Amino acid sequence: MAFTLNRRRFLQTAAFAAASVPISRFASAETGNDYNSPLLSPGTANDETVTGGICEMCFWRCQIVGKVRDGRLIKLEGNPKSIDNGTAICARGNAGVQMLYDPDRLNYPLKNVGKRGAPKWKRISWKEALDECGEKLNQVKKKYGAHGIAMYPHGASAKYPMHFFERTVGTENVSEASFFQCRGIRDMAYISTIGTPPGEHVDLPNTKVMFFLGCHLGENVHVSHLKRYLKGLENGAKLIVVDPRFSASAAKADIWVQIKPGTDTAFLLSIMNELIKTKKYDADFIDEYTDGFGRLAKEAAKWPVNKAAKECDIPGAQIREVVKVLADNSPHVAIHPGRHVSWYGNDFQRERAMACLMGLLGAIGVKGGFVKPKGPKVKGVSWAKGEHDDEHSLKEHYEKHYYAPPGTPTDLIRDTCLSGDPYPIKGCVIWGQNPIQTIPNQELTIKSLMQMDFIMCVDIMPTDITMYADILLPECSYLERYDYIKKGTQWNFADPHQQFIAPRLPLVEPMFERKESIWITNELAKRMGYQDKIPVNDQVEKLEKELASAGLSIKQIQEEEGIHLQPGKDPYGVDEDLEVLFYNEDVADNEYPGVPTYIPVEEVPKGYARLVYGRSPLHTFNRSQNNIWLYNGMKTNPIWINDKVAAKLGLKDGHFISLVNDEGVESTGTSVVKVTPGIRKDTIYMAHGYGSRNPMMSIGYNKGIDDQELISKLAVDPETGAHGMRNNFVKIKRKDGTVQDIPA
Amino acid sequence: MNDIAEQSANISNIYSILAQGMDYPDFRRLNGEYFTQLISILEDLGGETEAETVRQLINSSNSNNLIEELQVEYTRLFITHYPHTVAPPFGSVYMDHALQSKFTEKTASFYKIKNFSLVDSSIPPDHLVTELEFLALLTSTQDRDGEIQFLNDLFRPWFKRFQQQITSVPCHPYYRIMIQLIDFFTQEDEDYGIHT
Repeated sequence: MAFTLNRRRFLQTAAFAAASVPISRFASAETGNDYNSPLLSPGTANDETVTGGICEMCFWRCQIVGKVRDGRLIKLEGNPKSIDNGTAICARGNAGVQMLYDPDRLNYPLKNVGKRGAPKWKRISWKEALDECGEKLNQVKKKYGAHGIAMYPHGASAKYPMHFFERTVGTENVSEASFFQCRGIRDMAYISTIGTPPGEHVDLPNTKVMFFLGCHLGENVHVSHLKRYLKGLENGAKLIVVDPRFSASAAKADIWVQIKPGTDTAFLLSIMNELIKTKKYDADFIDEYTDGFGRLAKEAAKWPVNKAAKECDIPGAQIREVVKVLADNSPHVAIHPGRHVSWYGNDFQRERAMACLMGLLGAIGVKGGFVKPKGPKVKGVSWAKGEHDDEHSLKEHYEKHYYAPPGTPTDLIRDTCLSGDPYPIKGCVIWGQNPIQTIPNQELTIKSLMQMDFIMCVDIMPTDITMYADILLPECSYLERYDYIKKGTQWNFADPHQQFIAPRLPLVEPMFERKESIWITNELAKRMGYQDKIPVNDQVEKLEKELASAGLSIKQIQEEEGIHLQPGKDPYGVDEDLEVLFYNEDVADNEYPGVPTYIPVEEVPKGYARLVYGRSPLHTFNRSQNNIWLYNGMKTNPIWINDKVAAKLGLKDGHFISLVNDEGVESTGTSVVKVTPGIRKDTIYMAHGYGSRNPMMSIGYNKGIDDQELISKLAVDPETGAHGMRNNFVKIKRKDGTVQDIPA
Repeated sequence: MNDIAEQSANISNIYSILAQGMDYPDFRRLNGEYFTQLISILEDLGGETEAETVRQLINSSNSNNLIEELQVEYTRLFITHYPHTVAPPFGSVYMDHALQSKFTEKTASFYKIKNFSLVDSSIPPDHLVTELEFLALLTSTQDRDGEIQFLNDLFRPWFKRFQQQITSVPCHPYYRIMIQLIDFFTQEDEDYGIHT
């Protein structure tokens, strides 16, 4: 201490005027308050229950209520009025409170005055931030055209800005991870087979057989989805699980098919061949609703049981057992379409095969089969589509990926960024997505970012990608804004038919200077010269307009405790327009296989194991990796290693190791070994969503291994342009630096 | 010697000056009058070195540069920084490892029992500047017991940890001095107190 006076003496002798800026954070004194001592528990008597919450710790979007005390959210619960998740929410849903108050959250607009990748941030005003975003994006647009801007959106709040850039500004270079690194292949394959994307619409509670291929419910937790699954088991359904790993679902299975990764389509074709050969398919359904049965039969015949058993490395008797269970219970069988299906780069064919199997069994529209719910209609409000032609479509330019889901395949955008061919992409808008942890080959992703003239990011957390932003904007979380309208029906079709409409209403006011996406987008639009095209003034107006299309209003929803219920409709029955295209002529005309065809993937090289990944019940990818409540539940992502392999390598439960892949990429982090007989010798598994490389994520930073870092080998599904992400192979690296081959 | 009312006004004014100096830097807050007051406090305390440091800061760069320099440093220390924000200025972060925790609730409750309410709910009640402003208001009412209780129960426990985090890394001299001053004026010792 350099001061020579003590405090008391100083105050006695000195005299100071008041500060030149008046106190601003307090109102004038109130009187007559009757508050308890701050050191006593306040109890719950004055807590308020706020309704209208829609969870977004994952995409399932359960309906929730918040317990709020003095403006502070203290607990989340399922909305008792919900006919979907009911009063239940999962661990992640509960941990939304911690997400809301995470000290690492973004609070103010920031400008990077350092370098991309090693940012130095300066807090700036919203005006300054938006002025710069508008100016820089306009510069890119003027110099390179609208297509010179790429956008990576994710989540409900990113829809409105995505429509702005896609429909109004006019760039086609928009790529959603939920399509191109997740479910887009499934949706497009089912559309090409049964004319509709499948969602997860199988009637699990009322089925006789559940068939899961790579789907691990229990680790993959969505409340009403699990309720359906568990009710089905409770009602006596048989469960067939096809998975190289003894997953949570496999643990409950009647038949666990421990398939060799990548061979699923051969397995499915073999099942179909056996059904056809033994005439155990639904002949009436096929006559009435399908096309191309003969061609399918011909292709399936290439996979007799013995051949498929060898290819898939499973017992032939097990294939026959699966066929028998399916046939004995058809059409009341639920062939689960899965969700994250971007596995090997041959996935469109596998997903088509899944849909065809459903058709072969007649398991569509019937109790226990594929049944789409008949939910309520609510019209969305967003940006109108401008007059843009597709002359800059990268799909058209390269003449490929004719079955791409909406947007442009990420791989095409990234390649174009790197090559400048057919045109430069120099502006980048990232909204709620973390492409570092979603797109294979991080090195290429970073290179594509470094060549940009301008990058803006909007997020709630400082995820890995935000390190590359020039301007970083803080967004309201799902607990602080109005937006998404969750619609649906009662979770079990055996119950009285009801529909629900539940718009997201904020449970608490936003803190700091966080803003919601409608406001941010509109302000950006004004600066980019699109003021006259703004469809709504704010988030409330948008929601009111959307609800009005269903004869509702926010006030009514509030009076109805967050959820509007109305009579529902019987979802069963086959749509008279249904046509199951076993053979799709259009697909064939585009020079892809017209019937589901098995395309082998690269074999596991000697000394390696295939790296596969999946979900953890406590995490939704990087979205939840910094949540300390969830972190404490599962601090790292255990590396599943076959027990015999582990014994040969001298590995035991609890050892920490890193992994090195077949292209020389080594994991930055380490993780704990889980020795188990429940995984194939040629396969290593871990949960996705760990190992953030941004130290600003003080909880998630470098915890466990980021599997995405090891997924460097590019595989692109030819029909859809979506990535395949299970094509890398790994070895073990011990703490002492020794790299160990995986024994056969 | 000043009487009790004057001493209360003095400490109240000092708390308000410290609050002004620890808010996000801009031209309105860090104006010439503010720096004059700050230098005067430092000189009266016998902190000649610190006073000279502040004088040099003002004289060595134009005001634009100084404010921007302090904005970047404020962001680094208190808002967002790669790889880590140095010291988020919220009590709950140190007491409960979260924003808006039970500790925040206790702080807000204390304001209420002293009949003060917050104007802006977007910033948690246990923000450093908010607490300094509260202390300014509290001491302006000559509530000595309230001041001591607040400092002992709700301010010093987290401020010490906050201070440790800042002093553990290189830091802009302006903020080093400000933290030193806050520590000085909120410290409890045998001589503590504005009354005899």
